[in-house]
Amino acid sequence: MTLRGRKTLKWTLWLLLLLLLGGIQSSPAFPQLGGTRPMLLMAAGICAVLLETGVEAACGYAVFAGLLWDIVEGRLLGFYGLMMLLAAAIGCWLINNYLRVSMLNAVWMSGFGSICCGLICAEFYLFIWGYARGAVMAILAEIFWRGVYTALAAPVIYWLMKKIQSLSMGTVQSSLRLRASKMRPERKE
Amino acid sequence: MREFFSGRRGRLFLAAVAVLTGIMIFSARSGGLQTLPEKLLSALLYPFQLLSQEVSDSFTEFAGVFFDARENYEENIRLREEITHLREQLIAYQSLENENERLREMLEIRQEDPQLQLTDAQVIARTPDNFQSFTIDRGSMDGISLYDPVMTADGLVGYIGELGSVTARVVTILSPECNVGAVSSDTGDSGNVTGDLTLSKDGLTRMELIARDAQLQSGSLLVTAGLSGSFPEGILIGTVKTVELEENGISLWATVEPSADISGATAVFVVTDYPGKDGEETDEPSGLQEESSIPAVGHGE
Repeated sequence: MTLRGRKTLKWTLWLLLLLLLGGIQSSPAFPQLGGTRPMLLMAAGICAVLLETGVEAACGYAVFAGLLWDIVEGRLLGFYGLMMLLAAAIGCWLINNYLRVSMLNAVWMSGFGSICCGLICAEFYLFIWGYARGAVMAILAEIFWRGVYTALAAPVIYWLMKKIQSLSMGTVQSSLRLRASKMRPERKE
Repeated sequence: MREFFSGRRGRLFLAAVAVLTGIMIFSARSGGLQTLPEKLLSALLYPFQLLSQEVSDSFTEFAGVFFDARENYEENIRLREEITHLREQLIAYQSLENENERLREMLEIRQEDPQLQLTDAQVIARTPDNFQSFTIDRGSMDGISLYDPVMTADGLVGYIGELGSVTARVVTILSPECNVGAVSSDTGDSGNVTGDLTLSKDGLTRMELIARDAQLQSGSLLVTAGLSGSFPEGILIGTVKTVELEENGISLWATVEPSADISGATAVFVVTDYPGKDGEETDEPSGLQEESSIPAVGHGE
């Protein structure tokens, strides 16, 4: 298979996984922790940022995850999309400068990202409307548990996405070989 | 930072922010109807939501055999006792039913409103918000409209808050977005049923704007007043649990336990048409409508 074919396969499988995660996240019988469900789409967006070397593609995937998240949660379309774009941009910057690609980083970034998104969402959808009268601590606890649950779910998503990447793109060596074979005719010219 | 924004990636980032902000403004102006991008994403997600629902239902059913065995055994014994008790009651009930029927005919009270047009729907997704909102597998293609009331056989659940082609999101009566004009079936006291974040955690909702001299008490049944045409008249909302004086001291408020199982509902009915819908005049205005006066807040009555 050509390099382009492999990339297409990887992105198709990643998008299917994203849609499946969207379905699972909103599934009525999904087990809850502390009365919350994990933000699987958030974790998928973060994992893409970690695993994908192309910054634009990773951010695009994260934005799509955010838009699906908007649909799943019934929020204003673009709200989580924008937040995921910011999260992906910060994530890319951290990965390029300070962090390495690892499951542990996926775990804490997903959990922390989920808590940040939860706080922003609570501010815009509850606090400023005065819906949170006397329930601030309960909301904060819920956001915390959602972050924990998202962090717990992140390794599975990271593993799945990495597996898809390695299955479709092959090992690093085989990818490099493919790239080299593609470049050879150009050199001749 | 300046270098980043003047570079290609920075410009791309700003363009993406602008596009997403534009989408948000476009969606916010749609007034609850799904926009084209939302419809596309919903349609894309729909088969996966159905698949997840099927899988989770099957798993719950399968796991229930093992995890709920003890509970089922105890429930079985309890139900057997209940059957015996109910059989005894049945004889008394039948004579009461006959008497009741005669009284109803005399008072010309409808037992059931045959003019309600219902569309059944399955709950395919639960929104992880604080107010138990959910998505149903019916949309505008099935003849339902925005703000149509949603109910179960037990009572009112909420209304259609967001409408797509094949799916719709239901805003429940646990949400502050929902406002329902309610009247007590026994005392005739009226008020506005709306959600409250603290109460919604326990599956309860709130009735406010009740006159201070109201006779409402724990156990009173609340039904929809059907004033503005947003909800049909006489749909059971729930039971009053407690009645308290508001902080302002000029009115009462009550906690209400919805009669419908909102968090556990798997199938609901959407009321697509009913007498008095959207304020159209009914042939026989009821006494309740004439007596009640409830200010409208947000969507609802």
